Amino acid sequence: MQNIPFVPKAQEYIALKGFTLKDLDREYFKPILERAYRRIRNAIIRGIVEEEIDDIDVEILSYSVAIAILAYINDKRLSTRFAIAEARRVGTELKRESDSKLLEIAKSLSWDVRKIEHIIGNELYTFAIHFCDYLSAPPPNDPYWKLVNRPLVSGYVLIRKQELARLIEEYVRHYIYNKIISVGKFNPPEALIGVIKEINKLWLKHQPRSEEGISSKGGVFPPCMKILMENLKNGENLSHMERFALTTFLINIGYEIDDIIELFKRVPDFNEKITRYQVEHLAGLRGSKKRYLPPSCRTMKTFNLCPGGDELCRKIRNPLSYYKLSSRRRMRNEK
Amino acid sequence: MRSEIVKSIFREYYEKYFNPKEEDIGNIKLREFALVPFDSPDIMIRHLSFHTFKEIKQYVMKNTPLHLYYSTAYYKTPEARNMDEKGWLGADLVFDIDVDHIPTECKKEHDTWRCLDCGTHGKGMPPEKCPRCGSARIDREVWVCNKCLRVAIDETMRLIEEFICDDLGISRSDVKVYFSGHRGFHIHIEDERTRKLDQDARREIVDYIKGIGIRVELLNPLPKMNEYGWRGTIAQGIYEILMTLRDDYRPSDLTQREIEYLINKRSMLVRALEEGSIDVRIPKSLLTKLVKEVISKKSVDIDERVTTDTKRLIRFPESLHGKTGLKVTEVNLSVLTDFDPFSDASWLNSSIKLKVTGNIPKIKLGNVELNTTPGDIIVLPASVALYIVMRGKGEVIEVL
Repeated sequence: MQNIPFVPKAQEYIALKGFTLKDLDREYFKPILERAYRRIRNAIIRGIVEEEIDDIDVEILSYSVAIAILAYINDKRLSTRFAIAEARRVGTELKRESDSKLLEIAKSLSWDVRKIEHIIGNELYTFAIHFCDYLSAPPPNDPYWKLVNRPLVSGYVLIRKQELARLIEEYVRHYIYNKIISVGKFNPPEALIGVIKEINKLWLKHQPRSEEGISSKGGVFPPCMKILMENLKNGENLSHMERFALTTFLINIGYEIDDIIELFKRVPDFNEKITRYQVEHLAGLRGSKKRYLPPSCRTMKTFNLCPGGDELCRKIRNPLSYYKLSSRRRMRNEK
Repeated sequence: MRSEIVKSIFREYYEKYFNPKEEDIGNIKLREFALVPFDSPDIMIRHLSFHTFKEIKQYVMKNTPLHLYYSTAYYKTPEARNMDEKGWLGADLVFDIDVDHIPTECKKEHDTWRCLDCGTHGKGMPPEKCPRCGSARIDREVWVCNKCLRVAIDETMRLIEEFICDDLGISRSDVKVYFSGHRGFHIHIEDERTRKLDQDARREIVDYIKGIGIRVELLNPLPKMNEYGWRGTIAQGIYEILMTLRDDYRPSDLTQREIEYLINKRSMLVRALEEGSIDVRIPKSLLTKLVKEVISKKSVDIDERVTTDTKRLIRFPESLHGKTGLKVTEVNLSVLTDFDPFSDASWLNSSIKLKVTGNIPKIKLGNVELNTTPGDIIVLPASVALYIVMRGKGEVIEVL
């Protein structure tokens, strides 16, 4: 549990060790620096940080050092990627923990969580979490997680064990990201500068290719799709509905399958085989042979994916029409 | 129209009768206050900060407000002029039931709308866009009759009983209900836990109460009636539809075939809803229609902007609403069903002699049936008369 960064015990532990960044210049602390590098490296290359538990001191202190490095580099996409990768490590660990341990961790976040046993259909619900805590760290726009689709009684949302683990994982992701951006400016010690350079080099090499060369048919993306595209480029984890909306939109405005897959390479849990299958399915090349349209504006609103439209949005009912209309307008203007 | 007489009525109220209770607003030191002065209805004075109710009282005695507000939010420095400096600390959870948003039958009798671009006009709820020229610039004149108010009361009761207390688990004693002074009710919850909720979280609560985003796929196999949350509500709603279904009765937009399907399978479906099942399903297109019907009956139409805005200014309890002259009044839940604004939200016992200056629909306000034409000179209970004056449809001749 000390290996879960937000748990107060882990923080006490660091304080207890009286460790500061200056110490990194000493040979004795080299393993910490190396582990910090590996943490970020794994986040960049594999999208998950594996745990190494040989030396708990190294494990805990290197996490803080990694945060400092990322704060210094100050790249939003890299920080997001790291937060997701670390959170995923925690998530994996949490799923293995016992119910009582999970409960203890949730309580250490001051969440109001209770152990229950309640069966709905043939699913066993083992925890009840107060709706305010449930809503403090919900996974991204996934209809399944919407409060309206949840058993809610007397202020408590009933959830299953893996769901509690997932909520904590989501909390950790926010926590780590906020931690990185809240670190103020500082002068890194000599030893850290070397690592920062290494990571910068690595990140440059592994940054997903930008979408240059992807054909644009001359239309303008509606505000909702612009945001999704932006989030995707930032390597953020899109929900199922967000992926569906963006992918069907891109397919219908003429993006090539390979180009879409290239875009999704930025997502931390990217798996080329699965992504290809899904994109081809939506493009009507598989299964039902039906090419899907993007969700209507109304559906987008329901799922909270509509950021509020602009002038052109008033004329349309589907994000696709926005693109078509704007491209027609542009052609008219160019003539 | 806002004559000196009316101003003196407002001033007298704030001098003699305005007496907000300490328990109406918690943590007043952390709140922002704002008012629209009686004499300059086009400006709003914001970023006011007070430490005691006495200070507030003294301030409004000197500066008669047409409208008076306070922030649902708590701030470190409420008097700061911009949001960053204010330092947001949290906000009460607030709901607004405004009969304006709810289509009632009687609106056809007393509400009118007019397109500001082409002049087309009509009665009842205004269309989103003008049917003739497509303009969205539509002006409306809204009246709230006793029937409208009944609807608002029913919605408020349902919101509190079923959603706020049963589902969100908030205790009745933490729920305060205020007549807004105009068209509905504000429900305030000053709860430690809900205070920190951000906009997204509040939107989730709004969606829950309005039944937005319910996934039909997750309702097959059918839920059981005693399940928690919307699943149980949907099961109960479908059960009610099944029980009232006859060959000649069609709820919502069901086709003949769908009705037959439901009638044929009724006993099996009813059993599934009562006892639960792991394999009883309804075809998705039919289930979608049923769910839509249930949502329209069981959801509550709250104004989502009020609930999701964590920096909102809301009417001050016991203040006067400048468009109606009625008082923002706390209403005890036990007497909510009998609430009558013209007696319960007024402090005036006198009568007023009034000259009617505009068109007023035939409408019942409190105990008074109005049937007037411009130019009439009539004597009315002061609360109703003031209401007409504040709506710009009359002039006070004298207070009797």
